Amino acid sequence: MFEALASGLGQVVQPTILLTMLVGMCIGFVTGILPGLGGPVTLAILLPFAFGMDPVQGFAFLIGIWIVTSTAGDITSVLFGIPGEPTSAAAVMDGYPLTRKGQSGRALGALLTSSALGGILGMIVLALTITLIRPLVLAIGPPEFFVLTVLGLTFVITLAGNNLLKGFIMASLGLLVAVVGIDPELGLPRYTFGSLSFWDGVDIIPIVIGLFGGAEVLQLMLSKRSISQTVEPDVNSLGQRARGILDALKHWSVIVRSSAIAIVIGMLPGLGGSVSQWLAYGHAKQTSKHPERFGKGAIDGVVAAGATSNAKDGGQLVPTIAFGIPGGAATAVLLGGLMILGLTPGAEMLTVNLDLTMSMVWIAVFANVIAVSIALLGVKYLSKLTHISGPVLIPAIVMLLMVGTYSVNNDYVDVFVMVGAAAIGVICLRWNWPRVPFLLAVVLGGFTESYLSLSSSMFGTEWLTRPGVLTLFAVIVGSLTIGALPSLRKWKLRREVSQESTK
Amino acid sequence: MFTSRKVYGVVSVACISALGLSACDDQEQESEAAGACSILEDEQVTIVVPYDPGGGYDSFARLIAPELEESIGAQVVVENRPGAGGLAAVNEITNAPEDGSRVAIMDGPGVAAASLAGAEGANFELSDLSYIGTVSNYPIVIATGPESDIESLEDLQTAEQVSFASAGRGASDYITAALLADMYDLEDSEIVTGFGGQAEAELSVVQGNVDVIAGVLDSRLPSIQSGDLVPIATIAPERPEDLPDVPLVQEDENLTGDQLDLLDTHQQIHDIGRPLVGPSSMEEEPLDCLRGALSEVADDEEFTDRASDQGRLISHIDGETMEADLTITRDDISEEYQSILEESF
Amino acid sequence: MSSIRTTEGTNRHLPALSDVLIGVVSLLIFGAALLATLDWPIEAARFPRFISGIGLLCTLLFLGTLAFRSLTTGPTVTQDTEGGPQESQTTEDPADEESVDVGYVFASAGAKEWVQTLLWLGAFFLLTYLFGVYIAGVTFAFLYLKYGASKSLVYCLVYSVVLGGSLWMLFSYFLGLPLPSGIFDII
Repeated sequence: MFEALASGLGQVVQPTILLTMLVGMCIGFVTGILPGLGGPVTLAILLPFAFGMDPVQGFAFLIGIWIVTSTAGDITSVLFGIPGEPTSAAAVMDGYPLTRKGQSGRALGALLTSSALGGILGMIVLALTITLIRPLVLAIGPPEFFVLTVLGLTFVITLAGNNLLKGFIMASLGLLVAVVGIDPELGLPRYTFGSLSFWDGVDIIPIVIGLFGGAEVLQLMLSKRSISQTVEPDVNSLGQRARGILDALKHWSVIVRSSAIAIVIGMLPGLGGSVSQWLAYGHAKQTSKHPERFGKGAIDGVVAAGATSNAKDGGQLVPTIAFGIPGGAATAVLLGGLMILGLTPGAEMLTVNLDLTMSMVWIAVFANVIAVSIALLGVKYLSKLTHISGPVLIPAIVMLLMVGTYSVNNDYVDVFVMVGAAAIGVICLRWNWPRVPFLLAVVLGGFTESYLSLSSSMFGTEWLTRPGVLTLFAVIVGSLTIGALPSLRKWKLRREVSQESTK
Repeated sequence: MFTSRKVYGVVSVACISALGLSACDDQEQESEAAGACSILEDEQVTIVVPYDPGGGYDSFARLIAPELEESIGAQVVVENRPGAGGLAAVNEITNAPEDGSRVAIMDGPGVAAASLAGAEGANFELSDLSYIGTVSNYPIVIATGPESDIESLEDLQTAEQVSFASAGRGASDYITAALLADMYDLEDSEIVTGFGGQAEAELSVVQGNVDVIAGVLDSRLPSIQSGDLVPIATIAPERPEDLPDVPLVQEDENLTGDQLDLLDTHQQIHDIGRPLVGPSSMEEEPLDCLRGALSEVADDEEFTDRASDQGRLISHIDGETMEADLTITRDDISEEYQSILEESF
Repeated sequence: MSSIRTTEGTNRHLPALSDVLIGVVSLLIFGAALLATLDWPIEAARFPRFISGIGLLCTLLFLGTLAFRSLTTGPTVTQDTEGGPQESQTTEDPADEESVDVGYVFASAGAKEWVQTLLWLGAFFLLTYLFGVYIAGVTFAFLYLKYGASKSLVYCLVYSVVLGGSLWMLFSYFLGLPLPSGIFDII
């Protein structure tokens, strides 16, 4: 294996390869920062260009595009409060408040560092385990996924803010949105209001764009101020950046845990990055010493969200390479790329062509490091954007949101969904209702139902006793206990206060 | 000022990348139409893809777009319009302009089945479409997991309980599973749906959680080649090139006439393959033009070789033949098949 | 946040009107969703029935709590709000929290600003629907910068042309992605 690693490295460190990778990364960067337009679409459109390249060059091109889209998506989240990719929504939670405080340099420094480290961790796991991973991928099925979605939903408690009931109501509304579309068992349209556009369900991208982007546009138009509320002198941004990098390194254990979550979820086709970011974020909040700072600019929140965005890639490549079954939308296109390059996934990639597989690992590592270094160098200039007067940004942002939403399905209905989500986002912010439980439920709801129905049609009731299921149930109970403790304490405190006041 | 500079930067990056690829605007140089017709010259023709970018249909559309462009001298663009399991795009195309500026690639068997079954969401008859020609046609393959007890068609027929994995009702894998269950009288069979997509359905068979998956070959090919799925039979006019050792379901000598009839109808519906279609109201001139261009493209060996290198087999049936032989109506199919279809939606 | 502030000083505190309204709307949504499931076969109805039931219960409980609190008196409500006194103390710079909170912007904006902003956005969507995103985007950029942001004529012209041009380059020219076109399809 180490031979293959060395040979893979040799094949990658070539001027043409690195140049092709840079070209791919430039394209990926542009589409990554644009909300709505993301990795899978870009890959699909540019896939034909890979034809005629030799395998390593093709990987360099495609993986370069892919890696950098998630990194770039996170940058938009932090700077503008609008996720550039649906997998970057959690980065808004704490990254954006830091930007408002004039600390975008610090937030980006921490985010990019943790995203690079997460990406590299993902690739290390891929390299070390790809030849051994089969049993794990074969052991996890719909029952485990169902319990994972339930675990994700319990984070509503953690992410709901101070009023749990409000959190539950928003989550239930989100679940209702997730149910829209054809039901998984009978193929019956539910809550589609007679429109075919809703048959495949409500797309997550318009919801994310509306929930965050819509609120942001209104905020800028109303306040007519720049995004950053405090003007910090430019000299500071170097210091800020360094502070951010140090912040990330200080929270190395958050990076490791978040990456682990993203890698494992990435390994199986199904849930994907838009779920793992919230699991990692919720987990980080639960285990943080200052959970009350989450959502207001907690640096460990930024670190947790950032780590998942590229760590998932290593995980998703595992089934793609080992089984020919893609772990996510982008890897589905990459699989097509493999075939264009004349490679057969499966055993061959793990034996004869192991060096090619390892070259993918190297390319991804290089792409991560290069993307993040360039982005870190650019932080100073990027941060300036947040000091521009808000109204000047408005036309560009509004147009990009419109275009990004529409290009998801080329359907005006998505624009209406986006506007609806924007209204929900604004109402939530204005009257202090939590919007994250809503988003979390939209992301998870569909999975919860279909994995439950799959579990029972595959295994009857036996799935309840599968070891993976039992382990995860134990995790849920543990996490609920941890999550409930602060509320309990507060409740007790409140009772004491009210008792005192009634005396 | 900064935003405009930023946007400008965005574009220049894209320009540089495009230069690096040196293939972005070849079409500009080749404005001279090589094909026989000129009616669509300098127009824009959109190929609507009923699914997300990156899938099989999308790849085919993006493969033939530049070739068609060269042949008819029009600008050919691909537009993804997913929705309602592929029906949204077909509903739309039946009302497209008559000048041939909007055509679609479609899942022939799926759309035919939906229309024949009178499924909700299929607001058209097959005769509401005009056929430009088939782009590709894949055999159906029936596959099991590597550790499955079902290793052959006989095993499938005698198995006590069989579960089939399907991406969802109305999909080709669902209808084929329903057909097999009906044909072989598999009483305790179950079709498991609810998977997020083909990949998940496939994985469940590899894992051994579901026994069988039956569907078109091209999406199965990678995992068959990797040995994670084992093909036990195919439904096709003849044994497919990729799987010369796998028997056809029709080869079974014990099949009764009724069973063969069912298979025939099923085969006939799958012969529609993945055609390019337009509205039935499309004017003759652009229709002929597109038909001619597609035939020309499909006959170009350099192109078909290149496509098959990418794992995309081009197999062409021209539009006239399709219109004459392949437009199936409800009268053409037996009651039994009709009921299989209706149960599948 | 501000809605709570206003009730803080009074001894008998009524629940925030917004909470009541959102609660009632949610109640209606869950009720309608539950009713809709009654027509479906059990396989399809199970899950939506379960969640709309849960939603209904939570909303009732929420409204009940509000009613209960408005009948009793006590300072409980301040404990209930985001950024209550307890939390502000733990943060490094409490003064900063306010300006960072986007909800504060919404709460403090006057009716005139709201109407103006919504009209601008409504006009943009209407223009897009009528003439497609290119015309709408360029027109909106020009007009908004000129009258919303009071920029110079040259600035507005350059900005809007560059914006439209770069969008066209990226989407139509390089990526070949369709953009929203209007019913009066000029471009």
